[in-house]
Amino acid sequence: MDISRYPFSKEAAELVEEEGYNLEDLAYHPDLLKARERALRRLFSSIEGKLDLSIDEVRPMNDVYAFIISRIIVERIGDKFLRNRFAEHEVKRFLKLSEGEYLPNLVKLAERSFKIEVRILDGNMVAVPYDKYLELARGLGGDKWRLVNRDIRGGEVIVSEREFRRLLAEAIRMRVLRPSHIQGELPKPLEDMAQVVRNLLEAKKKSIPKKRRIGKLAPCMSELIRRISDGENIPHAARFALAAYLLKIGWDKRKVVDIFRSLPDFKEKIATYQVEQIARKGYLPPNCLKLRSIGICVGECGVNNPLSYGRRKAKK
Amino acid sequence: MSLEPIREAFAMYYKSYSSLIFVPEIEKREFMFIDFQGTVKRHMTIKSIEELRSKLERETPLHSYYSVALYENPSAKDMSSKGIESAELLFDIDADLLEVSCRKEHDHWRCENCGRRGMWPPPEECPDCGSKRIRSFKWICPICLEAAKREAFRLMDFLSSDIGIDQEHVLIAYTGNRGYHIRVREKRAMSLDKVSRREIADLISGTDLAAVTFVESGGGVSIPRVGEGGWRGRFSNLLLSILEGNPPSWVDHKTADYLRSIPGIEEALLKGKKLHNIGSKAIRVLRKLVIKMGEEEGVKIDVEVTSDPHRFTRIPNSLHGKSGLRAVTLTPLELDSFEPLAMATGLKGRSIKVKITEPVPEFELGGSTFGPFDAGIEIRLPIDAAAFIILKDRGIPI
Repeated sequence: MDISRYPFSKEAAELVEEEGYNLEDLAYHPDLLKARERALRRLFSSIEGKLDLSIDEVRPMNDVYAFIISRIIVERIGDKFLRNRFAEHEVKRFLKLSEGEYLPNLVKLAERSFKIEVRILDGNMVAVPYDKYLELARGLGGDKWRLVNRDIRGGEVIVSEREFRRLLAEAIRMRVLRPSHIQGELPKPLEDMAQVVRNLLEAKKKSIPKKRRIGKLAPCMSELIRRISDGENIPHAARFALAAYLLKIGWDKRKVVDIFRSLPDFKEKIATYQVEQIARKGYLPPNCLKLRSIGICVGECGVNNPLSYGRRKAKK
Repeated sequence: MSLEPIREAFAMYYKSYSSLIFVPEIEKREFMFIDFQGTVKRHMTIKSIEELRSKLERETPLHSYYSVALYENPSAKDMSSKGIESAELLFDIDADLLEVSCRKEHDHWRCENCGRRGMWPPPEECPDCGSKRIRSFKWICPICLEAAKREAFRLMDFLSSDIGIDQEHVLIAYTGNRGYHIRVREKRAMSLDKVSRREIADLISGTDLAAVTFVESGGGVSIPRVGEGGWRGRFSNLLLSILEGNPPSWVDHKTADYLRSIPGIEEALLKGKKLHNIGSKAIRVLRKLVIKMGEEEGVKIDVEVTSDPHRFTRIPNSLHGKSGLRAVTLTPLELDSFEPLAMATGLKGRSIKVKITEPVPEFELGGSTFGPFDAGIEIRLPIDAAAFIILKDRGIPI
């Protein structure tokens, strides 16, 4: 198992335990100087929405410690936006670095590090237990991930090697997003690093246009905006629903694009194109039934389409 | 109108047959009773079977339910403080959701304004006076109950083939009225959350099939192969049955003939090869067939029920307040030969006099035949038949 590619793995954790460095060591030990530098680089890349794919060929453990230090700092800062960006960074990094990985290695990774027991079938297909599949696939947008459209047999969902990596990446995201038990102040060098990261984070947040007041929007749509502004990576279907909704209630295209700026994978060109397409074709947002089925609905507001919520409110 | 004679019969039933009442893992369930005045009592905890039995005897509810969920603190007033540990995966099959022809024979409506009546389906507004106050009167008969039973078996087939749930992990219960509750007690299924349950509900009911993922174009057209599972597998089998000349009845001849003419379709199904140059009409027809398949072959369950881990089911052998029949727990083998109207009766005692207020069709209950009765007549009936008519709002005790 290549631990520098998979610093979140059980193997990596075991090696860390073996080497026996504690929190003080992570902060002060001269052997970990490079790891601290790499951690900072990783966090900068996360905030900027770039991808740091560098690997320490000489001492792979540096990448493991860099990951650990990054996580500690993310936890220390405790900012949702940062946590989501960092998770997205680790997801993208894994997807890139696991390309071409020997499938049995990935299966082992799933089993050992995430307790996901899967089977390899003919033709490099993978059988994933349905309950694990549902847990992992919910963060992924698009109809092809919905259970009703899948090849499912006797409780196992059959996925391709590529899809399997996508699911594993979601397991990584969930792990990174899960709060760790680090509490209180860190040793000084790590606190200093956290301050540097905080500064960059604030600067980044300032560069993202302030969202409009979201009081009168349908609750599900305000919730989507809130999640985006927390830097969460929301599925494609949710992005579509929100863009169509905002355009229909009269938002300017540029303002709609601005809303999406906090997305961890935001690309100006693509977002602008998509929003323009939705505006040009005049797409309506999906109705509440559909929104409920894709997990966007947040409660009963008594309308059949988020658009009628606005209208009802306006009439009052 | 006083339902007192019915309440007395319910009380007598619970006194005589309380030993039949049971609920597994009782101390972790939330209980809900609705009494004869319509008052709902929720968030109740009951510590033992004995307590439950004496409570039923004492309070004699019209409806009595328990949660499919197991909670740390079942009596907490709001859902988030109950602390859900797990919940059986519940499926509700109701004759209401099935297209059964017998409804036209035994369900009717009445205009609350002018009194005009008509057979099912009810109009939006009364054809005589235009009032929208239309009230429906439902009934049950062996035909619709048999349809519900068939649907229950189809559900169990889906559970096994798609989700891998064996019959040993499935509990079947006749609700006491129009259908069945099927509960899955397998460990993985019990720990699914709301979002996952919705996915399962959509899978079983064939809701939201995305035809573009079944018939994918781009460098040729790919379709599901024979041997795949879930709806993809059902689609490839459907196409194969069309090619072999024995499609299901809902596929019309024109569509079947057209599909047979698509070049390379058999190879695509059997060997996973892509279809080339088949044209946009072929893609359209194939995709339309995907959607139609979901509508025709999805199991007719109430998806809202399955999606919600906080739902209730009836206490086994308690009485249903819309029929007076018992909720009966069954094994799949027992379900096969189960006839609710003959076997789920439970009320005993003296006969009572009933004034018929809405027409009652001929019906069989507990082995005897009653009716038909016209509105307005008064008749003395055994308690189970009287309760059945009264609880279905077609008569009043006098």
